[in-house]
Amino acid sequence: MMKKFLIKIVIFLLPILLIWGALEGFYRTVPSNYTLKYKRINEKYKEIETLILGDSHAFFGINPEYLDSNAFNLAMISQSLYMDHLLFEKHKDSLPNLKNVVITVGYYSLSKLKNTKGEIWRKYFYQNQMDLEVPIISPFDIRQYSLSLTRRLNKSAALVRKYIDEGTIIGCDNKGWGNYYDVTNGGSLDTESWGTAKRHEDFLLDFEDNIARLQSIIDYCKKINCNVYIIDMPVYHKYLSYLNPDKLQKVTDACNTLVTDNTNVTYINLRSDARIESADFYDPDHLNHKGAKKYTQIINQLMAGSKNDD
Amino acid sequence: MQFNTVDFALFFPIVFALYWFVCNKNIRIQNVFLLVVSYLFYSFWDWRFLSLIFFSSSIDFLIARRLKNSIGIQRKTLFGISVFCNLGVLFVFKYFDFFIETFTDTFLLFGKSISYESLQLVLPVGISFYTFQTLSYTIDVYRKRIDPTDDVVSFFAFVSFFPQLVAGPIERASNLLPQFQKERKFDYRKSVDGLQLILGGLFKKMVIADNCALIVNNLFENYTEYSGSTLFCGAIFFGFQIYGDFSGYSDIAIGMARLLGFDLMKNFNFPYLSKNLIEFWRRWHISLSTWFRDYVYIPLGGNRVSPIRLISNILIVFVVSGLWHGANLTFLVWGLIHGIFLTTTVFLMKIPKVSTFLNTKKSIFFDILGIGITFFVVTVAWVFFRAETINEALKYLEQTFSTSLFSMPQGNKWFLLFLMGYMVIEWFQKKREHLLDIHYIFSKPIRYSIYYTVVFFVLYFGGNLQTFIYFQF
Repeated sequence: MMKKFLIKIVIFLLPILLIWGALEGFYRTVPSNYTLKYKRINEKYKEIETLILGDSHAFFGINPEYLDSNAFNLAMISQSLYMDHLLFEKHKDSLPNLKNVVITVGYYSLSKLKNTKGEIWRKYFYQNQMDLEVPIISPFDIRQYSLSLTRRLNKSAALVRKYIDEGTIIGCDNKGWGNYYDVTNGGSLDTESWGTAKRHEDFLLDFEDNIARLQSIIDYCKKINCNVYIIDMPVYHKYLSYLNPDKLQKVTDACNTLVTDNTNVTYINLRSDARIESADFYDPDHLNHKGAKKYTQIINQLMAGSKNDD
Repeated sequence: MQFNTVDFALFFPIVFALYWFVCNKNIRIQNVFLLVVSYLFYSFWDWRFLSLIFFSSSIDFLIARRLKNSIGIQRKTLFGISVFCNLGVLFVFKYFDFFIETFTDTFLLFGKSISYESLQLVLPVGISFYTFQTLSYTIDVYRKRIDPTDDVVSFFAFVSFFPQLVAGPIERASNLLPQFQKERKFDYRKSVDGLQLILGGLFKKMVIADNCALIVNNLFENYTEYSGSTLFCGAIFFGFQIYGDFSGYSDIAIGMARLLGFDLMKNFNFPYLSKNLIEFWRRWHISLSTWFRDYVYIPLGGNRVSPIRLISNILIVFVVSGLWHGANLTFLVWGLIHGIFLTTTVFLMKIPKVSTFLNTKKSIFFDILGIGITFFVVTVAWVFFRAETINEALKYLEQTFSTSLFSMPQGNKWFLLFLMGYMVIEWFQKKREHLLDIHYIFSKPIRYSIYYTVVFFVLYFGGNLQTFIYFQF
């Protein structure tokens, strides 16, 4: 009876196991943003003068093409300061010409926890596809051995469809800039602002851990005479109006304190920059191609200006 | 470690294989193995709280044995110690802060402020469930309904049995304990039934509850922004969330137990098809309802008392039941609403004309009308269950029952239709044991097509992983 039962289970599970195997093969063989960034940064170690870290605001909003120095964008969607720090620690000794580190800090960056629930799957990709040691992954966590188990089937299926349609799932160029937020997502900035702001509200005000991570990056940069630019990227005015003003002020204060305490830090707050236009946005908190070009050029000027001040 | 995670999908097959192929030499080895894996399972949440399970189990095991040969005051004292220890632990971890805060708030109402220190303790997962389970054992021994066991391993395994440890069903010693003491043989039919229950449970949890949770969380956090009709749908979604979540968990637990050769009691029996509240409470969280019936309601006199006492007995049971769910006034109000409507139903049923009408008018129209009214009352009460405070619940309901209740609800219409479709399936299955009890379909291809469709829904449409709601109780 037991034998019959087990045989039937195996037969029943066979198609599911086949799908799992196929998806695993897909994740292991098809190049992604993670594999491409890892490959390119390894190739460009000696050339990189400016390293860009941060989340999607940096990934889509800072195009290294428009910076004077040789830059590489190592930012990624939902990349926390915890991951920024780990990535920086991994690569810092291999970047002999590093002169600038650019890190974007937004409304939730400083309060973001290292193990956020929503984007939990990404940590396995950092480990598997960027050869990053991620301490928050438990040795008993079996998902680190199977990437297809880290995501829901509908997400994996969407990625496979994208690969079939477009021939790639890579969404960034060779310098790491996220290049698929071309014009707009088709929604209205005004109506989407509220929902986006609500989604970004974590009700957390403890910045201690992330400030310590930033300070660790700053301390190393100080040692090698490297400047650190903390940038608060432009966001749509209505989105900004829905955010907690006290928390925004606390973010500003924390960044200003880093500037006061460290001679190599510059804080560039473009959050509500006067040059902002609706046409610069893909959605309420991300720049499109036009906005990325415009604001990378502005950042470039400000970086040059701060150097001249020195 | 939750049932709907990859980790558990690996854990359980290993347990299953070791249980049937390695530990099958004798029943004692199997019980020791179950005890070890149950403690291991619980330790994935917080190993420190294993000491509480161990403490509760030890107290009740020792006291029950002493009760066997004790009489008079000694017997009562022993029983009192068991009740005090079990409810004491529950009180300290779950209710102490609540009562202290309520106490000081009451003083504030009279303009007096008193300072206090709250304990701020973390609530151990499943404490209400295993406390009630182990407590029922001592009560039954005290009442001489069962004999105390001398088998310490099977008793500890009974208290900590991992499929039902953290969220029930709350088992009675008279049903579950003897199963630990007799030889268990693998049963093919029972195991297939167990797999069907697990699959159905995963569907309820991952497709229904987890998807509802996303909508509900947004609506309850931002209820001022939405129309009455949307908020009413939000309350319905929460009703389905908690049903899918809890009955899904119970189904998985019962299914796993069956795979290990155990029969746990049924915990849900298509409750949203109930035609009145009395029926609803016979179908919803059956293990808790019957616990309160046997250990609170009947000792209070049950229904063989004066009308006033009957009202107070029902209200007491529901207020205590509300508080069992959580240390918050919202749960108390939720219990009270059910108590009041149930009392009304009980007295309506006592009117001969009403009773005769309900018993003779067997038409689908009256069935659906009854189901609709019951569902409406239950849905409104759920708002108190879900809200953080009574004030928030009242504001939510005020916004719901405004003129905008008659407008078109915003978004999620397809999901609402999906839930209605799901209820139609429940309607067809209502006389069956569970959702996927489809033995009556003789065509194998059709049966397997149904199974694969459910698997596809679970894998493809499963929402983001949410913690089981009842773990917090």
